[in-house]
Amino acid sequence: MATVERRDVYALGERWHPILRAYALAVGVMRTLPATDARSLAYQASVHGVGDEADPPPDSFRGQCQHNSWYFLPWHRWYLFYFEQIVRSLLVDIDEVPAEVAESWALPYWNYARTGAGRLPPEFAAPRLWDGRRRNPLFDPTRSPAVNARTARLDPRQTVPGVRVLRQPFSSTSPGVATFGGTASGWHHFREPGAVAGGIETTPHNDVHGFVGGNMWRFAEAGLDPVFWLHHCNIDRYWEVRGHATDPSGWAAVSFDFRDAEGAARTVDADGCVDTAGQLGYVYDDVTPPAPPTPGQRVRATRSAQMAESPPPELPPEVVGTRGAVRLEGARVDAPLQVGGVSSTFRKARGGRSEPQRVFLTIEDITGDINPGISYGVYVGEDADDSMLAGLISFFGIESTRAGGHALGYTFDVTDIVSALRDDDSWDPADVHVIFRPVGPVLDEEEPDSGDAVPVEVGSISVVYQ
Amino acid sequence: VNGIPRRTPGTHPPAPLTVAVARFTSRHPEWWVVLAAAVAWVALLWTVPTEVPTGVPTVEVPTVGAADHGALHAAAHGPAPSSPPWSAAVLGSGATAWLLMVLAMMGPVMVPRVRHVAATCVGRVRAAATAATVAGALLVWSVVGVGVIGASAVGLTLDPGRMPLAVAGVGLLVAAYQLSPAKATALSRCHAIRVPRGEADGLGRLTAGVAYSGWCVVSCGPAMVAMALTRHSLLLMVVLTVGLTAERVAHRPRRAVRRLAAAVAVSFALAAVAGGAHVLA
Repeated sequence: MATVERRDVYALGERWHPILRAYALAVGVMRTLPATDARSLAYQASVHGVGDEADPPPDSFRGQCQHNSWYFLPWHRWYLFYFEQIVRSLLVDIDEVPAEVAESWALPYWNYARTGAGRLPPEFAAPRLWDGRRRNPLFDPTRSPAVNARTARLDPRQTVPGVRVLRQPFSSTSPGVATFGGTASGWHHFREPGAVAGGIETTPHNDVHGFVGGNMWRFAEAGLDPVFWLHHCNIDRYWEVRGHATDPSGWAAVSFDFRDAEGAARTVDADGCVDTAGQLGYVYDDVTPPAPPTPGQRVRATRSAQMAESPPPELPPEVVGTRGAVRLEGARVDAPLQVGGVSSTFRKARGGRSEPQRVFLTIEDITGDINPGISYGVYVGEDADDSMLAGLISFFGIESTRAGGHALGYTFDVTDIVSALRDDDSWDPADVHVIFRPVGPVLDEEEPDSGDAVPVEVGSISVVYQ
Repeated sequence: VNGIPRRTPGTHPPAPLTVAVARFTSRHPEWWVVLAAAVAWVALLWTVPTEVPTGVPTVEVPTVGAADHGALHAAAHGPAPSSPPWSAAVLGSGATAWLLMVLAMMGPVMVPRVRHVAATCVGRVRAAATAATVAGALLVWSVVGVGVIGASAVGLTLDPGRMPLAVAGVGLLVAAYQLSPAKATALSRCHAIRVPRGEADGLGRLTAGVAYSGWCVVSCGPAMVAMALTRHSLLLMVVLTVGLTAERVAHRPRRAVRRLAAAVAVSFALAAVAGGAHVLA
């Protein structure tokens, strides 16, 4: 198997690089194919989601996307792999595409963390192709107007995983534990209680979906936007940035069904995609870990790095403080809560020790009608500065919470933040401050913090000890 | 610095057995629900008579472990000639049978829910929270039980030995329901009932338990009621328990739902065939 290289779209070096010309022409063909053809863009989008998410999927090929689950990364990796195969197979028959480009074509990725790359890549924002005549298949008019006009860019905090995310356990059976890849689950489609997204699904994945808007807001239509595939390619890259030393075992019990470039059914599993070069035939040109995006986040990264590394605690976590609903409408919201002691079971199970090894903050039962298109920074402590930023919450898939009663949920590791507050004598269990502040998009014309956004409800906020 | 560096002063380490028990219950907060279900299964096996009482219509159907579980449901298979249908003995027998059946079958089904409640509620009230959830479920299933026992007392029951075609038809109806959008919606909704998490939310958790089991009744009720009102073997109880639990814990829930539909149709058909053969004999 020949190995192809996936490259950063912002580092291709020229406007309308042959890789993007080929992609545009292939997507143009995919848009003309009937939705029953597995190579069509409509079919590929339906592989991700179909109609009302409360309905069962029509077959094992469509409506299969995995979110809030440890299958988020492997399922989407396979999804990209077959999409890339389909594009390559179509390019062979397009005369305008040089043979050497068609044969070695690989999906580019959108590394929005690169300096100056926080705006939509220009080739995706142009209504016309490079010749100025033909319609550009990479242009999606449903996106946020400011995104297509390139007058909006991602806030830097939306572009990289949270400070500790790349070092967190890949998965956990408990929703109270922050992970890289998501809660251990079965085949999952927003169906299980207590399943929360992994850190990489939280940021930058969900944030970028919310930033782009339009089709990118919904499971069933996200794949219709050609930039979806570059976005997920970058998320997939972060799995390589993290490495595979602590990938889970036992997750191959679930298999996934896809159709390949010939329309043939393929059944695959998570274990079959961990080695991109050996198993799937591609590599990334850059797997350098990203730098913290703001000075405050650099402070937190330094503080976090000074904490001694130890294996994750083996005993289940325990909620020690919780509070109810908070409504977010685009302005800062303070949500104080009280933290009490641990249970006797917690203490006895740890040989009499009542102090935790890890502290987590969970933001769960998040519901709403429409994606507000912004994220919220979640801070612990009275000062909402970035050194106390636990992470971002954003709202990809929130429309699915309307019908079935399912909700979004996030968990952040705040051990270093709580430790710092204690060292500073600012940690008062009777009055723990959790603050939500809107984050992004950054607009050229106005301040993002205008205090007016589509409302979302946060059903519960909890502090968890492990 | 690793984690939170403070320790509780002046505490004595607990005994090793105490630590072991605490670790087990910490990892398995559902232990008492599993234990209750196991006791219910033992009681069901223990109380199944080896000889079917005189007067209770009988038919040889596939069984597991014991001859005919139907004899336990004296009230559930039409009034016996020797006792009036509304007598305390008959109603008590029916209520006991129903309670054991609910504990045996719904205990395993509720394990994921109980674990979820334990994981998301404040740890200091974890035991009370899981108890409130189960209590809410028992309330709902008790109401269903009153209806089932009442129906049995007035003779609204199906005996494969007398009505094999009706039994097969009921099996097909339940299987069709398994595959319906209503079933999928109910299964999805009962997964999604949110749990109040605070220390003072005991009543809310009881209410959530009622809501959870309300959707469970919509999801599992048709199969449960059809089984209860039909002379059945323990094999059918086992099949339904495994199937209804699998719907909640299987890696592919939709496949589990389809497989249970097939199993229900086959089980009722087998009972009907056996009943038909008995009639012909």
